[in-house]
Amino acid sequence: MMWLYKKLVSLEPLFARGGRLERLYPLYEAVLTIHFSSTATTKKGAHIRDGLDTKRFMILVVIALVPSILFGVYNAGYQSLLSSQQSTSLLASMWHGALIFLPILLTSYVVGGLWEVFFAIVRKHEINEGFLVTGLLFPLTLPPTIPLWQVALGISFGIVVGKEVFGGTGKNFLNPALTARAFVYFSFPAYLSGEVWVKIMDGVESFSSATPLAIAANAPLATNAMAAIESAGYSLWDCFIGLIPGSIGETSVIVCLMGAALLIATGVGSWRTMLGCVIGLVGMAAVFNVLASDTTISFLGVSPVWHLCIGSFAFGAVFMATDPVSSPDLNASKWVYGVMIGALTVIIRVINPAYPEGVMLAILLMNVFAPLIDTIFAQRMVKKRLPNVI
Amino acid sequence: MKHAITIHRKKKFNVFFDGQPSSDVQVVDATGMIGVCPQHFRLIKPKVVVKVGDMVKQGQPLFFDKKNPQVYVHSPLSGEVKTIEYGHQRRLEKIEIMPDATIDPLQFQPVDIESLTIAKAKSMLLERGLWHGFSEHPFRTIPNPAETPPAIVVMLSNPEPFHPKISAVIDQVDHDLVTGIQVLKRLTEHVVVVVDANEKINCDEISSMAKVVRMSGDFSLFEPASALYHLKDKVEENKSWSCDWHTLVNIARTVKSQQFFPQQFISVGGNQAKDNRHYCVTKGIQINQVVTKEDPTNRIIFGGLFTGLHCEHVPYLPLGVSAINIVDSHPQPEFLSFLQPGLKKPSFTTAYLSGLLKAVNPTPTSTALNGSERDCISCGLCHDVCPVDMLPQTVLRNVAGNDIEGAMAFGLLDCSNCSVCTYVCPSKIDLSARFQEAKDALYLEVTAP
Ligand code: SF4
Ligand code: SF4
Repeated sequence: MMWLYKKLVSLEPLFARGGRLERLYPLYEAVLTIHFSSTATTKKGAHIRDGLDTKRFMILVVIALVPSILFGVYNAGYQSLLSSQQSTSLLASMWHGALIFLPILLTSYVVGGLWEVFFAIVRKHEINEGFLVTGLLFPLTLPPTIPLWQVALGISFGIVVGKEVFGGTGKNFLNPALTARAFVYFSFPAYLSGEVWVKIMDGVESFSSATPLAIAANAPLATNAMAAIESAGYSLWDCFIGLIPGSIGETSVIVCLMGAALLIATGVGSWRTMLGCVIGLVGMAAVFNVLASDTTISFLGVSPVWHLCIGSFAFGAVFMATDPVSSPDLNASKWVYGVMIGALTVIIRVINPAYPEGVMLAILLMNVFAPLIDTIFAQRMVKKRLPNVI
Repeated sequence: MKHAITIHRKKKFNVFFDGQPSSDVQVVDATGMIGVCPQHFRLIKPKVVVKVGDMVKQGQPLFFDKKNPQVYVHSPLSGEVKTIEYGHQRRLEKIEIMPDATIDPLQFQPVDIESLTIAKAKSMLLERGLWHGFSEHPFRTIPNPAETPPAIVVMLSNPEPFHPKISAVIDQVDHDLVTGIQVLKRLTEHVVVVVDANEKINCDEISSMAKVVRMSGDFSLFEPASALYHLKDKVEENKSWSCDWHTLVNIARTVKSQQFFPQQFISVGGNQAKDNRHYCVTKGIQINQVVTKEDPTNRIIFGGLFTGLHCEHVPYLPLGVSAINIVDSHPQPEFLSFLQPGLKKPSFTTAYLSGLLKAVNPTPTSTALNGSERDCISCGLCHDVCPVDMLPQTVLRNVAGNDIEGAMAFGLLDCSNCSVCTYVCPSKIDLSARFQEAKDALYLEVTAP
C-alpha cells in the first residue's frame, strides 16, 4: 500500500498553502487520512497521545450499526417480496432490500457529503468524520418507500441547519440525523405517517401496511391496543425480532441490542444514557398503565414491554440519544437526560397520536435541554470547590 | 491543610508505559563544557550578570530574574564563561561554561539552622542560589522573597513516567531530607510532605517534624498543584509554595558543605533509551554524556512523557529538570488503521483491544499524534481522568470565549497541567497547553505594572 501513500503524499504540494488546488485541501486531507493514519507528531503539551481519535470513535458507531443495516436491508426486501407475493428466500430478500436501501444510502452520503465538503472548503477546516455516522443513521430511520428527492432534502436540512449553521460537528446542539428525520417527517407527513411502509415492486398492486405504533395509536377507546396489534398480525416476539414493516433500520430490537453491546464495550456510547432511556420509558409506561381505564384512550394501557419493542425506541436510545455532541457532558446529567427521553417518548406516543413516533421528538427536545441540565449539575460541582480565583 | 494522612483516590488513569528506569544509580561527572539553560522557567526574565571570558566560581551568580531581582541562578562549577546565547525575543537560551578545577568554589558562611529567623533563612537561600527551587501557586512562578508562604508542599514522589524515584537514592539522601525540611520549617510552620503510598521509604523521622501525607492513585495526583488541590482547606492556601525533594537535597548539601552543590539526581527512561537507570550527574551536563540518540528520529524529552519540555535542541541538561526520556518519534502511515482491532495501539479506553489489557501490558509510547485535530465532541474522557475534578471541556469553552471568570469558577487555577486530559482527548485538543496559556496570560495581566 506504500505506493498509494507515496502517490497521495506527492500530491500534497498541489493542495498545500500556495498550491493550485489550495481551496480543496479539506478534500485532500480527508482522502489521505481516511486511507492512512496521520504521521503528525506532538508539538506542544503531552509528548505522547492516546490511540483513540475521532475517526476510530465514529467508525465504531458505524460498525455497531452493521447488524441494523444488514437486518434492515433483509427486512425491507422481505416485506416487499412478501406483499408482492414472491419468494422470500434470504438471497432474494437481501438483493431486493439492497436495491431499495442502497439508492437511499447513496443519496444521503453523496448529497450530505457535498454539503460537508462545501462547508469545509468555505470555512477552511477539515472534513469531519462525524458525517460518516450522520449520513448512515438518517437513511436507517426512513421508510423504504421514501422518494429519493426527500432523502436529499432531508439530509441537506440536517447537515446545514442541524449542524453547519452552528459551526460544524462539535458545536451543534441537535443531533443532525434526527434533525433531518424530523424535517422529512413534518414536511412530508403523507409518506411517514406510519401507514405506507412497504415498498411495492413495479407492476404489483399497491399495498399499504400500518406499523404496530400506528395501530396502537389508532385503536378505538376502551379496546386493548396490544390485542389490536396482535390481531393485525404482529406478536410481541415479531416486534422484538423486527421482521415487520417499518423504517429500514429501526424495526428490530435485537440488532439494536447488538449495537448497544459494542458501543458500551468500547466506551463509545454511554450506558448511562441508554439505561436512563429504558428506565424512563418503563417508568412512564407503568404510570400510564395505572391510569388506564375503560374511558381513557387505549394506548394508555400499552405495557412497558410493548413500548420497548415497538417503534424506533431501541434504535433511538442506542444510536441517537448517545451521540456525544448533542447529549450532555456530565454523567449525572446523562441519567436525567436518558430518563427524560424515555418518559417523553411514552408521553408523546400516548398523548399525541398524530405523531406516534415519540422517541424522535423526545430526543430532539432533550438535545435542546442538554446544556441546561449540564449547567445545573456543573453549578453543583462548582459549589463543592474551594474557590481559587484572582 | 487537611489532617488526613492518607489519601486514596481510585486509579482512573490506569495505563502504564514501557521504558521504566531501573533503580541502580550511576555517577557521571561532566568532562567537557557545561551549560546553564533556563527553559524550564517559563515566566522569568533573565538578566545576565557575567560576560563571555569571565572566570566564575562554583556558586557564583550568573543571572537574575528581572521580575524578582533578588533571585539569582548560580554557576554549578568554577570555570570560564564561553558563550552566552539568546534565542527568540532575546530570551536567554544558554550560558556555556568550561569548567576549571583549579579555581576554588565560592565559600559560604556556616549556618545554624535552629537559630535562623524567617528573614535570615530567606537571605541564606537567596544568597546560595536555592530560591528557584520553590514555586508559588497558582501560577507556578518563582515566589517573591518578600512574601511568606501559607504552606509549603514538598513532593517526595513524582510517578509521572519517568522520573527518578526517591526510593532508589534514599540511602544517599535521607539525612538531606531531614535537614532540608528543618530549613523549610524556618519559613513556615505548615510544611506538608507528600509521598506516594507505594514508595518504600521510611518517613518516621520526617513525620516528627512535618505532616506526611501518603497518597495513592493516578500519577497526575503528584503534580504539586493536584496534591495541593486535595490538601487545601482554606482559600489562602491557594497561594502555597511547593518544591520537590531535589530542592531539599540542594539546600541540605549547601548548608552542610558551605559550597554550592554541583550535582543532581536524574533518571533516564523511555522505550528508546539504552541505559534506563538513575544517575547522579553534574548540573548542566552535556546530555550526550548520559544518553545516546541511536536513531535520529527519536525524541529526547526533558522531563516526563506528559509534562516534559519541548526543547530538543538544547544540548545540556536544563536547569530544574530531573528526567530525560527518549521515545520513538517517527510514526509510520498505516493503511486503514482505524479499522484495526488495535492490539498494539496505545489505548486508555476499550476502543482498541489493547485497552482491555492496559493494566498488564505496557502501553507502547511514541510521539505520534494518532489522529488529527478536531472540535471537541464532548466525549467526557478528559473529565474522567482529571486529578483536580475539573470539567476540562467546559473550561476550554470558557477560555476560548475569553470568559476567564467562568474558567476560574470551574477550577482553571487548580489545573496542575498534568496533561493527562490532553493525552486522552480523541479530538487531539491540547487542553493542558491551552490552560497554561490562559494562566500565563492572566499572570501577566495581574502582575502588569
Ligand atoms: S485540566 Fe487537564 S491538565 Fe489540568 S489538572 Fe485536569 S487533567 Fe490535568
Ligand atoms: S476529551 Fe477532548 S473531545 Fe472529549 S470532551 Fe474532553 S476536550 Fe472534548
